[in-house]
Amino acid sequence: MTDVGFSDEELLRRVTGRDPAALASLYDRYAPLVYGLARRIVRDEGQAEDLVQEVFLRVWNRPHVYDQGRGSFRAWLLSMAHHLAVDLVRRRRREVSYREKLTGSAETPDPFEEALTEVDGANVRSLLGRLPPDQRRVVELAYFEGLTHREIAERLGEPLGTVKTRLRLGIMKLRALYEDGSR
Amino acid sequence: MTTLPGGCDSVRPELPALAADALEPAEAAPLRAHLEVCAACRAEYAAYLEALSGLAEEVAAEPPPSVRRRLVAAAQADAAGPARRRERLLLLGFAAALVLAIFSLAQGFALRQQLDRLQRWATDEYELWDFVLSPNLVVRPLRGTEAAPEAYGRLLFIPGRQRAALVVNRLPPLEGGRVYQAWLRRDGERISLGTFQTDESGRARLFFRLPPDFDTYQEMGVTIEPGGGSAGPGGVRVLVGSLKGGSD
Repeated sequence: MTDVGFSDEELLRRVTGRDPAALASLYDRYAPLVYGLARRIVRDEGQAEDLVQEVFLRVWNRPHVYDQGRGSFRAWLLSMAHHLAVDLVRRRRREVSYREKLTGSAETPDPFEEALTEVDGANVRSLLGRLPPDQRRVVELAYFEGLTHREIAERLGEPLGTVKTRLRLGIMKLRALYEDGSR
Repeated sequence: MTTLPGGCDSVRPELPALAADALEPAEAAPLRAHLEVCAACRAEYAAYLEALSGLAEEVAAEPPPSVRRRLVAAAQADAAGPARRRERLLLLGFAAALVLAIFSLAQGFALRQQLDRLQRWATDEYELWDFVLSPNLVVRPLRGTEAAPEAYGRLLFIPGRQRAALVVNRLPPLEGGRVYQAWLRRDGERISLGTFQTDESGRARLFFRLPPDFDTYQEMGVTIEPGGGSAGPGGVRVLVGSLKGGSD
């Protein structure tokens, strides 16, 4: 059951007081966002579930880490989830790259995964779709694929400076759209 | 005050990429240090996080109900408090011992060994949860070396407590009676924390006492040693991690 009347901050205060019901309420409020984001990035439902568990256990164990002066709880929670998911896919990529060095062969792309990327991409186009295509592509690669701007530059064969500029302009535009509420 | 030449002017253009986790760790570290001391840049960074969180809304999906059940059960067990957990642990130990006594009479030595293992496993599980659910938990990651690139581990400890745990995953199986041995390193000196073997999936848990001067050690590692362990690390190193740094 969700405590709909309570603010996030009130629920966090109750979590600090070791109230499992308050944690459950925060979970009910934000787990779909955390799970959806994690699943989109890690592309593995089991790992996405583990990640949701880890994010909320961190909230339970260290609620004081959230600082109200640094933005909303929701944005903080999703940034933690994003960070953990990106860490996981980067670790996975390093393992694959090490295996490739050992075996001397690159892994062939999985057509199912590629199709899934397209479907997922279509789902977020309502917001990303408002960006120019070159900015949209780098924001997608950074936020949903977990690539660093250097890796994006390599992937797209573009100069690093160009990628940095597109990423900066793309996210700044998202911010403007978000703040205008013009979505 | 700033940690970067150029101050806020050099930090601000990088904040969108920082918010999207698109920087290398070495690029992100000085920016994060700057955010600790600059409220204006912190506010700007928070605004980018807010905007990016809008993308998460568009891929939202309901997780399976089992995730919520596991989470709430863990929180409830933790909220019950250490005393309740100790009671439960004692009860569990007593129940396991009782079952052990009854069954060992009936089924003989082999079954008793199995139940011993089960009891040890239950005790380890409880101890591990005790660490994981502590608000003061400190975690130090260990990474696999080239000899075991898929392996990873975590040292778990709680400042002020002597007990610590090492949890490792994906270590390769050992043959010929060899064992894994964990070490702490301080300059040229190394002390052993004990030996262990993994299960068939490469996992293991090792509980041990930290030395009183633990905070003077710089590094932790795991090597492969002959059965019974070695006085000093002589075998291949498979895991290594710094003891300094953040708790995440």
